[in-house]
Amino acid sequence: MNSDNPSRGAKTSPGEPARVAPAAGPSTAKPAFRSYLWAFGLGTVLVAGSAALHVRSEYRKVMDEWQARQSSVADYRTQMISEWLKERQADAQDVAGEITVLRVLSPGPERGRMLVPARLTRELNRSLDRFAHVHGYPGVYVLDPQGRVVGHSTKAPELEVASLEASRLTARTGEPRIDLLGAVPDRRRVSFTYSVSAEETETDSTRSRPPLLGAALILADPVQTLFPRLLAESVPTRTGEVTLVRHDGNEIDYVAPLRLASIGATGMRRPHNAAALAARTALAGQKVFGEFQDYRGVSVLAATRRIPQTGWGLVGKIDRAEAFEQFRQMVIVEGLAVGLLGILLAGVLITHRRYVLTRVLDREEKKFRALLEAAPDAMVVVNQGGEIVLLNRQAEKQFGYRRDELLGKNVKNIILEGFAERLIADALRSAEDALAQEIGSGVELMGRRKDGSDFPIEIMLSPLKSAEGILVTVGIRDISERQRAGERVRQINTGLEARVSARTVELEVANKELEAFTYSVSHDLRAPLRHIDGFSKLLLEEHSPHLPEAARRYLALIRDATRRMGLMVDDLLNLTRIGRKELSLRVTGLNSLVEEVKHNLEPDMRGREIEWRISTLPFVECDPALMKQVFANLFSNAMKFTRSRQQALIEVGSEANDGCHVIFVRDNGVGFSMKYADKLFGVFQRLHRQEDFEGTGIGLATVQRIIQKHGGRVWAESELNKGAAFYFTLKAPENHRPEHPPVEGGQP
Amino acid sequence: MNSANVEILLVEDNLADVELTLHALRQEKLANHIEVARDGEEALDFLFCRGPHAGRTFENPPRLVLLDLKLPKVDGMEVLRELKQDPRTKAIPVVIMTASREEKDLIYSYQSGVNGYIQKPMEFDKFREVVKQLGLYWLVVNEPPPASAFRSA
Repeated sequence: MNSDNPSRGAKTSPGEPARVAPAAGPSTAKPAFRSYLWAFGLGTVLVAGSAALHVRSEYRKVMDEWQARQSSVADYRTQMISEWLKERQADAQDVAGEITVLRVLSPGPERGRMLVPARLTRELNRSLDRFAHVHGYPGVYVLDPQGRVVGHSTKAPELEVASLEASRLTARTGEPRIDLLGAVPDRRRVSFTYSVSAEETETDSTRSRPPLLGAALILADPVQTLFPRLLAESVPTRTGEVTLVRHDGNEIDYVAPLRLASIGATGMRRPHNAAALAARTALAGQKVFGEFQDYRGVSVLAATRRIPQTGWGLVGKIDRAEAFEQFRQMVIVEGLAVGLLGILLAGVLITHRRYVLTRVLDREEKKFRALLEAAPDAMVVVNQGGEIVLLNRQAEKQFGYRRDELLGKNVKNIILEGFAERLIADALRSAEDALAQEIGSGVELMGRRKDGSDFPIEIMLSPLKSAEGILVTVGIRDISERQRAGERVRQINTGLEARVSARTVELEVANKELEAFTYSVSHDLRAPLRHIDGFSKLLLEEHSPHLPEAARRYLALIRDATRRMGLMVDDLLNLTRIGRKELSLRVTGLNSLVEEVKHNLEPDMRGREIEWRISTLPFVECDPALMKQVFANLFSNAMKFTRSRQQALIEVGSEANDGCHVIFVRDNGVGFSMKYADKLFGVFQRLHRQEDFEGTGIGLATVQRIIQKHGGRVWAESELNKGAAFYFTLKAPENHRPEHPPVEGGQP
Repeated sequence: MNSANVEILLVEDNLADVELTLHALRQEKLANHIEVARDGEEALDFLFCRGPHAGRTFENPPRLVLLDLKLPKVDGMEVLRELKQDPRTKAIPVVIMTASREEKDLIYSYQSGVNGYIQKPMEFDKFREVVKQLGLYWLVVNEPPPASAFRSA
């Protein structure tokens, strides 16, 4: 059998045997599967959980690392800027302490003189020029307290108003100042002003400050010296950047050129109140690290610092995307790994479950197939579409197909008609109904073999719940033999019936012939009897005077014999007539019937002492005319055989017996010997001599014939010389009972 | 015999019966004009005025037909039926006088329109009495059908 491949799925394709999973399969597989599910779920949760924890700690690590990096970058840059500023300021202080500066600005002995000697100015300018040249400043200036430039280096640009104002303030307050000049980052200058104070004298300066004479001012160029160092990176990144910011009115002014801004040197400004802006936090003086937005609106990891003495802020930042690039890759890799692991695990589980299920199914299916093969009938399992999904060897044999020729084929190929309708009817019912249905009783249909020959079958359907839905198991029995046997029985029966009816016809014919014969004999016998009687009579009447006495006696004897023969013929005729007559049954009260018969017999009772004892008799269903003959015969017999009795007694009564009425007529006459009882009811049977008791010997035969026609029985009991009793049975009518129970021996 | 004056047609095949019947009728002085037919065919020839009786007319039917049932050639029932089916003869009184008193014979006879049915009594005295009464009734007491009753249509 090629169908025992356990790896095959439950799905059926044509030509492939179905996997029939009986109800036992899932019940054993289910608990195991549930524990698999648990294990699988738990494993997945553990792996996913640890992956999540790992990712989380990695995230922390990344954050910490970047915090350290950005903080150090920010700190380093802040320090760098501070030092740069300090150095410039120190330079400004140096200028302010130059002797020539003092000389120029000090009133000295020639106080009140407003003009500085040209020689001194030249000397100052030379000194300033030298300083600017040595330190690389664009310009070095000395200003008087009114903010007028009293000396400057050569090529020094003209000072802006802000610088003049700053130096005036410094000259007045003695506070050094650092001021940022210029709107565009790459042309920015920073001015450092330092106050110039008079030389302290030991005499008048105990605690008082020396008077302020003016201010020294250095114009430094951050674009060349400071800004490039801001962006220099020890570890190169793609988006790492340090920005320097300050407040400018309501806006945040990005002081240094920006690495990532497309507009570059043209100056970047952002509203002061833009939330999440790292620059804002820096300007607020907070020294923090966190996630912020930069001037592009891009999410960044940033450390914020404030530059002392300046009111500037510094932001050391890197794009979050770059910062977490490795982390993201790690997360993706890890997620992929977890997913793969899950898939792998699920795959293993599914495979295992399928393997286990398949094994269970295999076992069940083997059992099922063994059962199927063991079945004495052809068995075919069809799905609800009528496709054959399974069959046993007997089915192959019975229909003459190979197994693979039938699998997947519609069952109509082998059961032509009647089956599909049943199947549809079954399918229309709910599955529960179909299952609840008892095994279908046999339905007789025709099956067709592969060679096209038909044979009678009986099918039995029973639904089966399986993995493929409701399947119907069809038991198919070849009933050819049974039908042949049935046919033989039918033939025999038909033959029997034919023979019986033929016999019956023969019997009826014989009966008819017999009766026709009797009738015709009786009929034809009457005519000569009449003639004998007629002519004897005429002879006596018309020729009596010429006849001797003996002749007249003979004629009388002839006439007597003729009369008796006439009676016999009449009785015989009557008997045959009863045989032919149809009963006309009526419910009849026997008492009134008996009275009528008795009344008709009164002429014969003349001169007799007869006591009649007539009990209450039942109502019976009978032919009244014939029943009268019965009683008339029995009564005249009773009267005849009690003739010798001084006191004759005739009793009529009835007994109930098994739904029948037993009627009897009893007399105290001469009776008869019971050894002749069997001759009593025969035609022409007589137990007495004719000269003792006249009679034709047909009366009791007539009684028997009538009672038998009523379905009853007649019999007699007697003891010689002590009387006789005649009994007969009659059926009680269906719904009629006598009002009084019969009273034995009671008077009517 | 002047067939025009026939009063009784006796249809009887048995000569003894014919003689006894005629004897009884004669005793009663009723047998002046009696025609005897010995079988059904003779009876029909007479009644339908054909064959040897072609000279007869339908206007002069017998006053009474005494008909036996068991007859040679054409039986009494057939005679009765033909008689009672023909408008020219159906008014003729017919009394069946036979040995049988079979119920089917009685039924059939009366359904065919018979006017009387008598079983010939066994004893001659009774037979004579019956014949006498028959003759008296049909020839004396009973009013015969008028001549127009024997015309067709």
